[in-house]
Amino acid sequence: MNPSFNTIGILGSGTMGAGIAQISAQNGASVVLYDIEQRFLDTATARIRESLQKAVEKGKLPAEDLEPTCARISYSTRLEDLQDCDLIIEAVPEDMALKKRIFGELDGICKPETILASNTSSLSITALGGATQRPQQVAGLHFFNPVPLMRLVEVIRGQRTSEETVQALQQFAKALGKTPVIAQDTPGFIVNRVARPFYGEALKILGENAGSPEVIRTIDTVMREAGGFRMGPFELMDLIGIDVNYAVTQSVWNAYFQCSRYRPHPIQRKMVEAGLLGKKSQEGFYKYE
Amino acid sequence: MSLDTDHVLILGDPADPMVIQWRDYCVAADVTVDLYIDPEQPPPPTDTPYTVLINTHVEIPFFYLQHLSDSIYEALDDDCLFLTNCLSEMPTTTASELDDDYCVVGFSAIGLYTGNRVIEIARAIQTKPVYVQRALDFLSRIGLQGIEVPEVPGLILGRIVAMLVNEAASALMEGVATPEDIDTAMQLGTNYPRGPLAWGDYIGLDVVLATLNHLQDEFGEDRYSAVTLLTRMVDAGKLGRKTGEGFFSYHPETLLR
Repeated sequence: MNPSFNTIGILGSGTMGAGIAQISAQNGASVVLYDIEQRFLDTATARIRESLQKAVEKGKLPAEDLEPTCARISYSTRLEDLQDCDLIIEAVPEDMALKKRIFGELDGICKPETILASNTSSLSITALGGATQRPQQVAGLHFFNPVPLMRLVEVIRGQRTSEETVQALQQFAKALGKTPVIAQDTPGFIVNRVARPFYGEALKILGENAGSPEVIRTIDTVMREAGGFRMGPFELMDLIGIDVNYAVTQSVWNAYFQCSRYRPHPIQRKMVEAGLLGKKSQEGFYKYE
Repeated sequence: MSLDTDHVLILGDPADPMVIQWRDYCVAADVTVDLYIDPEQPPPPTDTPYTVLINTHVEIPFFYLQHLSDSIYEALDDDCLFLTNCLSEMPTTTASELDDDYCVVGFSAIGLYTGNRVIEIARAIQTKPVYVQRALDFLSRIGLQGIEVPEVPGLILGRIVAMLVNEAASALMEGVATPEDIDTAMQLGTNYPRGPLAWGDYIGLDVVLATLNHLQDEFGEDRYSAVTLLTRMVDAGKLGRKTGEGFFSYHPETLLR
């Protein structure tokens, strides 16, 4: 087991994949960023360069490190190009069938010692391990958005994940300047599970008060000013995307066999049906310019 | 009932950090304040009638009212504002037990446990609006900010935080992660001002449990069932900071009081 992970393969070049590629390269690793089409990779290339440029402007990255950091990332649309990686981090869309297929393919392509990690926020790590012949080397490595700024990484131990794998990923997260926590493979892990009532109870209180916009403002104000939260639940749902939050709620609720603590609220469904998704659609619980 | 003559009587247990906070805020604002600890006994003797009664007890607020002797009612101003902690009883329910049901205003002050000065208040169905304004004015006078919220069980912050503590306790009970990792995850992954388990220890796990039980009584839903780890800790007297041990252990020098 090589805890230093010289070469890292990342699948999926969206916001999360690009962010993980960036911080890995910033910390000296060689990165192979994979996606299915070149145009996605072109977007990621520009996004990473822009983000590093900002880091330079903020004094977080020496200007002379910009080009070498960019040069440490190579881009590929061929899965075979990941064969020499010490660590693979999968960050493709949250589709279990897709992820299982990818893990099965990687299992056949990568070196026997390679660790296969998933950045999934809600799917079963154990199921991904089961799609490979190396379940002891499969784990979750859950980063938070935006990756360069958020310090937390959840290291998820699947049913058959080895202690060595967990420790290696913990060390890797620390090397990236992150704070790792270890969670068992349970629906929502820590954050996406324990945070459910923050939204669920706020929605239920709103429902008990005729869905009034005044109550939305009151709840957010109380949570910020009396509770010390940076954002109220409705402000946060608007930022995350009401559809995204609704999908996570449904996922955790279903994974716990419809346990009532995690039950989604009809208000969420109605907002999604109306296309009121939050900031990204200019209107959610609040209106945005 | 003029504000500059407020005379406050606090019903509560001086071992409860919230009681001390209320008293300290009154004293700092030069408001005359007495503590009323044991309702079986006559209230402290007073020359001027009490204009504000603050019931800080979380457990069954009316328990105290029932035991209030005639002498306490004699000590109250005709216009006395009755502020009652409503984490475990709806203000309307409390008011329904009183002859003067129109003077009751519910409050939730769990922010006080962590040094926050914002208090939620809620009017009962019976409350006359003038008492809501008096409550806001009184809070403002002693340096606190009142926000009126709808009358829902546990009010807003208490209800949401009790559910966060319960969920974190559930994850802990199931072995999802260590208490330290659960709290770290919530602080760094979602920017919570403090971890839910440490927060429960600040508020008191008995208070959290009373809030959850109240929610369950009102709604009759499993959703609000306290997880067995929480009820067992309360049974064992591990209530958080005030007893020196809760989800975490507290050395005497780090205790609030």
